Amino acid sequence: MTSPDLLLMLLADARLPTAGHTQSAQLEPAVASGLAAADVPAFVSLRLATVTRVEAATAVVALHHLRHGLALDAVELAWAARTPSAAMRATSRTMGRALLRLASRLWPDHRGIASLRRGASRAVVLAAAADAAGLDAAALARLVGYDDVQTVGAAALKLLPLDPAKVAGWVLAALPAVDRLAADVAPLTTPGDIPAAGAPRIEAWAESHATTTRRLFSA
Amino acid sequence: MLLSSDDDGARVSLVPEGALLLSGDAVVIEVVVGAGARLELVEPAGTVAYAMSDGGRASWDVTIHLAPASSLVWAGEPFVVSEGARVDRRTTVELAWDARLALREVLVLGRHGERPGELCQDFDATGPNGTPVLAESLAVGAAFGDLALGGARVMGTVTVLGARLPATDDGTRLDLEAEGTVVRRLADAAHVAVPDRSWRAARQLMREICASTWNSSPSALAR
Repeated sequence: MTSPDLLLMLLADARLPTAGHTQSAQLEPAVASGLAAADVPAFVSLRLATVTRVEAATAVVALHHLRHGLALDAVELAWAARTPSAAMRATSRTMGRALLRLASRLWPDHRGIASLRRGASRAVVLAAAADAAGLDAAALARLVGYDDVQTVGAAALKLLPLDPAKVAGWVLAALPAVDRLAADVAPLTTPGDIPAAGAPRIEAWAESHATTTRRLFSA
Repeated sequence: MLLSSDDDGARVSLVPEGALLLSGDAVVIEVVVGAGARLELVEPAGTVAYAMSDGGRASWDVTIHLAPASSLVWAGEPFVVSEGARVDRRTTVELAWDARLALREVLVLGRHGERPGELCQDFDATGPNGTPVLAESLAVGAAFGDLALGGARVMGTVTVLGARLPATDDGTRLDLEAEGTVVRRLADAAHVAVPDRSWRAARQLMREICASTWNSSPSALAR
């Protein structure tokens, strides 16, 4: 029996072959439109309060559905209605596909993972992996929040002239907000309760980035 | 106030008792469009929410029920949240089969030279059988930082539900998973924030759909 700590570390590890290095969490278009290095912590906070909150809550509700034998369709519909940007939905599904490929190799006998449809969102695939790993809802929500903060941090180091230790400090400083997010969404069980916090500027960045050819990151 | 009506629809102007919101005000607007009917709502002027120095809030609740094959075109005028105002704005839309909505909204955070007021806005649209179509909560204004709107003071939005808007190039285009399109512009002045070409395209689209589906007398009128 492996400890939940180790399994959580495994799923949070950017060295997993899940194409995490292709993602900037919309930081690249934000920087292209003038976001300065000093604004990165505010950018992280905004994501945690909006799009990442939606993703974490979706994952938690999907985990509940998987553990109670409920269909995931309503969860996917609720997530899609809360993700108005087609570019952001496409990115989530691309990331979901990469994660699903890995998860079905790691846990080939897990029914939840085997039951996922093509085109499942990343949040739902992550929930299935968390189910296989035996993680609880709060750990899953922390995983979503932490991964988002680290994605922005790693991208910031490629896009902006920053000291890596300074960025690590920003990640550390964002962790209490990740904990608060996890505490807020962990009790959720029904799709209708998934928060719908939007961020028009982030959505605009995602859409403009999807059509540009000058980019380091796919999204 | 009814501006005009004919066999298949009506044009109605919303005339509020006062186009202003003060602390403690709770405005409730319910729009019901019957099966096959077509309603156009116009506003003679924008709405201004003034500073709420007593610490109170105001609310603005709109509920829209669209019966099968009905349509609503609502040309909203600027909704201004002055510095010091706190407003909860909620829009709930229920679309039956083949129902369509074209909605223009212009949110202005603070009058010229002011800091933004505080606005918590919920938009919740569902289709037949309650399937979610679009759910969005926005918290904007001084208390929430200004990055969500990229520091912009005005957000113009054209929302089309039940149909997809033809290609336009005057704002961020969000094609929803369900049938529907949102086009949005962030700017510093109302007259540049509105995606005008998208709005014209939305109205044109609604006219075309109504013309092509006009095959029976509407069974109900908008009220």
